[in-house]
Amino acid sequence: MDNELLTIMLKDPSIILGVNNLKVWYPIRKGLMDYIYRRKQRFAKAVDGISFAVRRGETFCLAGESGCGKTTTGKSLLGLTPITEGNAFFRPRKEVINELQKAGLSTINSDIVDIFRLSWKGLKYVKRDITIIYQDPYGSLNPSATIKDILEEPLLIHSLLKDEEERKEIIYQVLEQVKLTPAADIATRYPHQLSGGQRQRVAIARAIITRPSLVVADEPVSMLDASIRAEILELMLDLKRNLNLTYIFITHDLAVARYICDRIAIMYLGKIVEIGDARRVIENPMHPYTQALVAAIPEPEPKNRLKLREVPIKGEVPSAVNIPTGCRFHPRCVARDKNLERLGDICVKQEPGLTTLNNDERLVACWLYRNSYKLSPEKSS
Amino acid sequence: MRGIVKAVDNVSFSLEKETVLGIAGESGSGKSTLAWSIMGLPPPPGRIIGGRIFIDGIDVLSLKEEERRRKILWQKVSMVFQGAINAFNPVYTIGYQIAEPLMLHRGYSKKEALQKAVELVKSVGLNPDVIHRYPHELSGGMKQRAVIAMALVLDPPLLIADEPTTALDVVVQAQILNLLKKLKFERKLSVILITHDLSVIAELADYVAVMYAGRIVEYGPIEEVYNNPRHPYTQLLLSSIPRLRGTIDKLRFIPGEPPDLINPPKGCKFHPRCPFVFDECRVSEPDLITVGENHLARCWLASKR
Repeated sequence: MDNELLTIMLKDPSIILGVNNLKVWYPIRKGLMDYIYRRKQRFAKAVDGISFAVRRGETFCLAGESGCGKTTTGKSLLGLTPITEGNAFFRPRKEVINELQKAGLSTINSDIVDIFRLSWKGLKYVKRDITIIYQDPYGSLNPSATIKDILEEPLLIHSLLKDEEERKEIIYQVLEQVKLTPAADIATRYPHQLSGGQRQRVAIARAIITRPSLVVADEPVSMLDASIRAEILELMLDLKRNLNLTYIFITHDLAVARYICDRIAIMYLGKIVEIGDARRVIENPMHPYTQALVAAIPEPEPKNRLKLREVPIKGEVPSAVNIPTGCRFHPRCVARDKNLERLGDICVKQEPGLTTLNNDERLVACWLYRNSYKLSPEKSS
Repeated sequence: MRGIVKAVDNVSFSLEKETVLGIAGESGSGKSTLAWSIMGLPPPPGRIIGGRIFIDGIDVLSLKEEERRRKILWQKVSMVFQGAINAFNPVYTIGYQIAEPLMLHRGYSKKEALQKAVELVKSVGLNPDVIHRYPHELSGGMKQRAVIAMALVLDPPLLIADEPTTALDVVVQAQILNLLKKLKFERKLSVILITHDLSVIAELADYVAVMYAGRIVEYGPIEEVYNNPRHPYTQLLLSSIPRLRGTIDKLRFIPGEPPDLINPPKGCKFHPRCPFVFDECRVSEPDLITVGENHLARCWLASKR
């Protein structure tokens, strides 16, 4: 199966990242009774087999509620969490490939690496090209380091610039790019002397200082006030254009996603349930879960107070340890109840794969959209 | 001491029965301080240095602390505050914690109180058996419902909800907001809803007060304020929110940072960030000026028309 995605990637050089069947399972600590009864090891399946491809220059969005696995997916791409299974084929910049080859590390077709198969050393080279912006600008910056130190660290770790003056120049340049001016003044300050919005700019500056091609942005604006949020989103869009960045944008806020993202993958309990053009998915959701998610979002429209908001979903998110059988959304699915006659018990018995809907590039993992199906050991992707 | 922060400065409003007032503002605007102060409990080291608060005809600040606790809190006003889902004591059952005020304030027996707790728990959409459960056994959304039940146990006419949905996922948030809507009608409840999220306010509030740097800069019926905002801050704030439907317009934002409240700017507190600033704004602060029916804005521009 890995070859399928890889084959596509080899043919299509515009794909910068291909994640194939990623699984991140965390073992649950066994208790005494588990040992006595010799129970099998159980896992919290944070990410349970997801695949997607990201094109160079796009903003690809991973969206979903807390616990759906979106952050875990993002972290795994930087080797920040051990994975259980899967591949992440990544096309790094030429210089990184050269470095890798110089170090005697193997590459696929001399321009692709599998992030999950890299050695520690290889990963270090690649992480020059993939960086991350965290959610919390208060927690992600070292409080005892000046802004200059914080921004200098990636340059030192990757031994990018030998000369201190050169480094300083780059730091000032990046600070200006994120519109923190006067740069020379900001560089001498400590994080606590900056506001939340300014700190998040520093976090962005740190992420772009090694000139990466792919930036994972994990809820970069959800801790910020509304007026500042818009400014940071605009900044990120500007930087993307000017520096030819590709973003993986992780968010729970579909309104933000619609504004900034090109394509979106909606996740539920460790699986992608719907994937496609961001505007089309949000404006015309197909999967019953996406429909519920969109229906639940409040808007600054005063008329809304006069009616109850109907959210077509029941129950609560199950734990990632006890994932429901078949389609993992079935216990909460209202659409299934309405179409029970047609669907029968397929939703309970078998997990739907992501299927194409012919009109756009959209994929939906739902039995509702299969014209014919029968219970069989079908391949799910 | 570096100075005095005037977290809430010269705020006045009134609230009718069965209406919801939304108080909107960004972090540091004084909205939470205002909420606690209405209960007579400004967060320390803060103090209320002036003004009066009447709830249901009772002058809250004239009462001694003990008296206030007996007569006002829970009975006349209760609060669902930020992070309320961590407000439960982990070693008591949910039912006991909801029932406790009934035993203390109304002299109910434990059995009667628990019976009332069951009713309440049902009215907030929870399964009655949660009263036997402990807080850690409930999900975030269930806990938030239980907190609301707890706040309503003595049937207060006024509920203050401070960021009641901030920590929740959107689906649960929608359910909690629906619950508050329902309770407002069923119990003829007045609510003061405090949040940074203008979309959440639109789900519930009849009136809205926008706060900036400790004062109300715009107040009015929600339709008026949202569809015809008169203060530049409100205008910019509303156009900085990405929308879920319709055309994708470029988002506007408010340049600069909220002011340092120890050294607030002279004149209008918003003038350093205001795109329409002129000389008068830098010199003196405008009052709230009537710009429409029940619609007030603290802006010199509004007075010029």
